[in-house]
Amino acid sequence: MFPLPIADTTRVRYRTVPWITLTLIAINVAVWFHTEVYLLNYGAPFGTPFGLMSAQRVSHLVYGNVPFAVQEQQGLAAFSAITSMFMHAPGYMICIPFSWHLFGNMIFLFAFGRRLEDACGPWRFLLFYLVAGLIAGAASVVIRGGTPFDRLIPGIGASGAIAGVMGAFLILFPGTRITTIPLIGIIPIPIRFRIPAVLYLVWWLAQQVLPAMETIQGEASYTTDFVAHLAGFFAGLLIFLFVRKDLLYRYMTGAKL
Amino acid sequence: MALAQESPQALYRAGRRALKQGDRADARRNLAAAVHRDPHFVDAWIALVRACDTHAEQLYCLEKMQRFNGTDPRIQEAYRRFKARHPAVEPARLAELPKSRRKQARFDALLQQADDRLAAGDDRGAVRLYGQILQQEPTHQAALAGGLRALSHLRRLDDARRWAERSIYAGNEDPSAYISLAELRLHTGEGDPWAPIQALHDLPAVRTTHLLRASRLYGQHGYAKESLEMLHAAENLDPQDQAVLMQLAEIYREMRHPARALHYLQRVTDQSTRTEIGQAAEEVLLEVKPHIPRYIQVSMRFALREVLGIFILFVLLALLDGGMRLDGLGAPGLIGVGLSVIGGYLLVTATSSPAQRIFARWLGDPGVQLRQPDNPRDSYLPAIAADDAPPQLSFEVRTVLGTLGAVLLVIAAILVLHNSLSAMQETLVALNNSRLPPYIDNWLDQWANHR
Repeated sequence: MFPLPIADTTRVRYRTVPWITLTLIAINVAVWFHTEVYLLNYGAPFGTPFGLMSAQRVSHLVYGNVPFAVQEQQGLAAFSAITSMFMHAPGYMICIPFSWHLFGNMIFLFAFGRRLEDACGPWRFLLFYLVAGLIAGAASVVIRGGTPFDRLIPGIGASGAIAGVMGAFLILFPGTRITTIPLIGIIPIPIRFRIPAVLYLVWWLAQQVLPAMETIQGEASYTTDFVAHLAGFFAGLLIFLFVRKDLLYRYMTGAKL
Repeated sequence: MALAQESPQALYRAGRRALKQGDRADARRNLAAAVHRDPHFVDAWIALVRACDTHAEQLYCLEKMQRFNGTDPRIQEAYRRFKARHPAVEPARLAELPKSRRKQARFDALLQQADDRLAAGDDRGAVRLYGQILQQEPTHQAALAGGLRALSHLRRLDDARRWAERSIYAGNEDPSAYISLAELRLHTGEGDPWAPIQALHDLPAVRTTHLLRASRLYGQHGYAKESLEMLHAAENLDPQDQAVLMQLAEIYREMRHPARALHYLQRVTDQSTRTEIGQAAEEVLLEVKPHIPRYIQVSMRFALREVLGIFILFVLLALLDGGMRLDGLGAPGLIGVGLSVIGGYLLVTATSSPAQRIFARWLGDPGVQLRQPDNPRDSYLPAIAADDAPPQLSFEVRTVLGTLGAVLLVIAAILVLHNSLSAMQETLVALNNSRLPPYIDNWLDQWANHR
């Protein structure tokens, strides 16, 4: 059973529309539809010495965060660390395009991002999101780039940046409660549980540590980039550079945020 | 001579008689007693002016006359003529008439007994003794003050009011006595309660605490405008009094003028946040959206905090562009990172930190003046000059700085991503021609060899 976070229980304090969070979700969904639905089904395949390669697969190699490309300054190089933040793995559920990768990331972004956007203001939140994503991407390049096989595997997904959002949330709002619904397998149970953010996020972090350590030591290879998650989460410490001044003042004076 | 048993008219006649005989001291004693018994006795007042020894004492009496009988044309004429003849004279209280040593000793002993009874809780006994003193000397301030307290304890508020009036008519200029009289008049429903409060403005010993009390009294009885005027008078008296500023903030909050309330809360916290009132103001400010204290608004460090965020973004981009190697940054990367700091600082200054002391001191506009509310009901609200608000950069300066900062950031982005931009060209050309970028063929080879 996995407790899926769906919302932060405290009302957003000053603004009601988290424009950047919603725009990021919209861009991620749009990019996913383009690459994983349109290109996969309708994109012209590319010829390679080993046969045809789908346009969707090529898009992963070109726009995904490939450590080798960054290290050797090939292709989109540094840009790929940004473009990869908006790409997600393909998937289908009963003949309907559906990606758990995208769904999971976006629901985490929705649950934790709105309040953080409120704390930062839209543009500083966007900047923080990009910085957290780039730190996660850079860590992934450095760690995975050391192994000859992994360095050619494209890393995609917003999870590094979202882990940063979660880390910042833990620092700023540890006392908040998160509304979750239990997920048994892929079936959501319509019962809501309110869990303290500190418990939820520390539990989430604990799940990342061991696989990330194994990856760093080269003892195991996972399809999930736990190193990027861990680096992104600790990038949340930088939130103090992006949080609004009035909220920083509240934080400094120990007032309720 | 037993003054207390005589009517004001009898005292007036005795005073006139003494004045004709040249006994000014006896005349003054009788006439002063007459006006104390009936402050609206204009003839007695005019005779008392004649009995005064100095011009300063005469002016003092004339001003008292005006205060109690301001509408009487004889008094206005007398005052006008006096001021025309003696424009430079300052008023002075009537000199105490000399008492005999024996009489003084008797007064002192009686007063001591009365004070002891009051302290012991024997209010009735205290009133009786104070009364004995006042029979001999109706203007004895210590006896009046003590008697007033005893009568208040006994809940004889009507008598207390009369004694308070006598005390003030007798020349008591203690602002607390004026406020007590107003409170007693409000309780008993006798006399105009607000006249002594209005008279507070003319008292030399008035302090902000008195005006605050008066303001609360007005507020409790629904006179918002007068309450506010008192507070502003107190503010003029001491612009740094936290209690006054806090009271102003609270009254403006109640009146739903949040900008004015914020202005005063800010001023309270500017004085100190260590006092109880300062902490209370800070707590209120923290509940009000979004509040940034002045020391943060004008601080350069808080602006540089945001610049550091931009700097980190550009350093990361430069590192990724340089293949995650420091030596891969190259001169364009380093220049780009440097420009990002300058551009970021200009952009932050133009947007979120326009009140930094370093710029705003010589490029800034003074704080925005709070506008008068549109509601005509509130037309009496005084204008608040926000001269204590930190100066901010004008819109024009911010536009120029912001544009310059944005341009520098774009240039910085081009410089830090120079390797990626040149490498991207090859990829996009290949994809546009439906060809696999050549480096991907290389990767596939490596991949196949590895497997």
